Amino acid sequence: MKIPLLGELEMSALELLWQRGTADAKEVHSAIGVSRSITLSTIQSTLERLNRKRLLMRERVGHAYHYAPVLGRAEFRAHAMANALSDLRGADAAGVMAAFVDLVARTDRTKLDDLEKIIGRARDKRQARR
Amino acid sequence: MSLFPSVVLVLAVTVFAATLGIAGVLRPVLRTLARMPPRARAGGVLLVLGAPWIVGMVLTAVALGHCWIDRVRGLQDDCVRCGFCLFQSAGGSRWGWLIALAALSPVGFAVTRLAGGMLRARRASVALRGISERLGDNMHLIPGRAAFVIGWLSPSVFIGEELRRTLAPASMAAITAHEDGHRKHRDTFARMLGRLLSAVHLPRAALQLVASLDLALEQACDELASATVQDRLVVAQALIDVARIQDTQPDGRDCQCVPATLAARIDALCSDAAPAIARPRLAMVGALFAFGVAAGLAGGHQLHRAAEALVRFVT
Repeated sequence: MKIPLLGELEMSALELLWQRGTADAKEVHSAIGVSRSITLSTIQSTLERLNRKRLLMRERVGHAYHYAPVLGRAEFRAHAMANALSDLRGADAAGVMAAFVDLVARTDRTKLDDLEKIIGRARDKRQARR
Repeated sequence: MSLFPSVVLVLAVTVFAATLGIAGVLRPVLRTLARMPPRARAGGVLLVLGAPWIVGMVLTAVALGHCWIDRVRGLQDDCVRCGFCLFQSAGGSRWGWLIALAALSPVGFAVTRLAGGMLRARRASVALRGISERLGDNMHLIPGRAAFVIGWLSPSVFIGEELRRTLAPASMAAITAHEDGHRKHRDTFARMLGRLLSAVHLPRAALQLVASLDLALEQACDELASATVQDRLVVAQALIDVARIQDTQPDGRDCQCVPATLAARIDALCSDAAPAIARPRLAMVGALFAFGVAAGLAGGHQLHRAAEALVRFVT
């Protein structure tokens, strides 16, 4: 699933809905809107935007829509991470990223064992010196 | 031929000549660089990568500068038609522009590729920040098993939760110090610059120089991490541990390779031998400056004439 880029307010709304399971615009506004001095209509449009992005589903209850997340937090993060990986590969090729150990290269486990033996020998040498 | 394509043409020829020269002496240059401490080596490699540009610009400036000298001396030479002279630009030529564009095309290609990479890095960084837990100043915890720094002007460090969960605190401290070293020194900018400068080098030389730059930057941060945890072998062990964790693929496949940089970094961390040369950059900058002065004093007029002949030959 393609996860679109989300703004800070959209992420906060999602976080709240992951905690509560479901909420309407007024509840979301009182939880995250009041402290930010944001109007109810801004929260409503944020929730609608998330609904259009297929990250929230909504159900009409009386006069108001009740929103609930489509994906759980763990699922959402896994999808977002998978999406970011292809961008990371492009960034790595252009040099805009540096990984502790190359993200793309696969490593032969027996050769890793050999390298670990070199570390072991260096450790033994050091202990012998002490 | 108007002034702009003439200058680009002369610059392209001198840059290409310098590139050939560097490719010819690359092996001893890399051997010398390998004896330097990592941070100084990275600077040295960047200087070698940028040397064709520096040499090209110095020679072009010297060739152009002769126009000024001739004018001061009251000599109006025969370069009226070639258009290379600063003061006597002749009419435009389609060929000149075409040749100038062809000469600029590798740089244009590299710039386009770089811009794409920067865009993707920005997108990835924003997406990852959205799902991350803030650990500190520009440092974030994300799902997964990778540790990396991304961005060029204000880079951010991302550390995988799985690493934090599985690795010993000392290994985690080494990884964090290593990545923070990249962030503080803006190594991603150096990597980008290196790739951009490598656009004019011959492919094999470009690959070797970029690999050498990447290795030097990684080893410089390995040294920083070693100083933080006060044990070089802890950093070496962290490298192995992360390689093992990252390589645990769901399909269980195995490959017959080990990244060259990984082996070189572990070898360096396990050896006690200190690099021999301490101040290479100053020597290199001094040598380039001396080259520029010598070229200006000894061959300025000849260079100007050669540039004229080149422009005439092409047009």
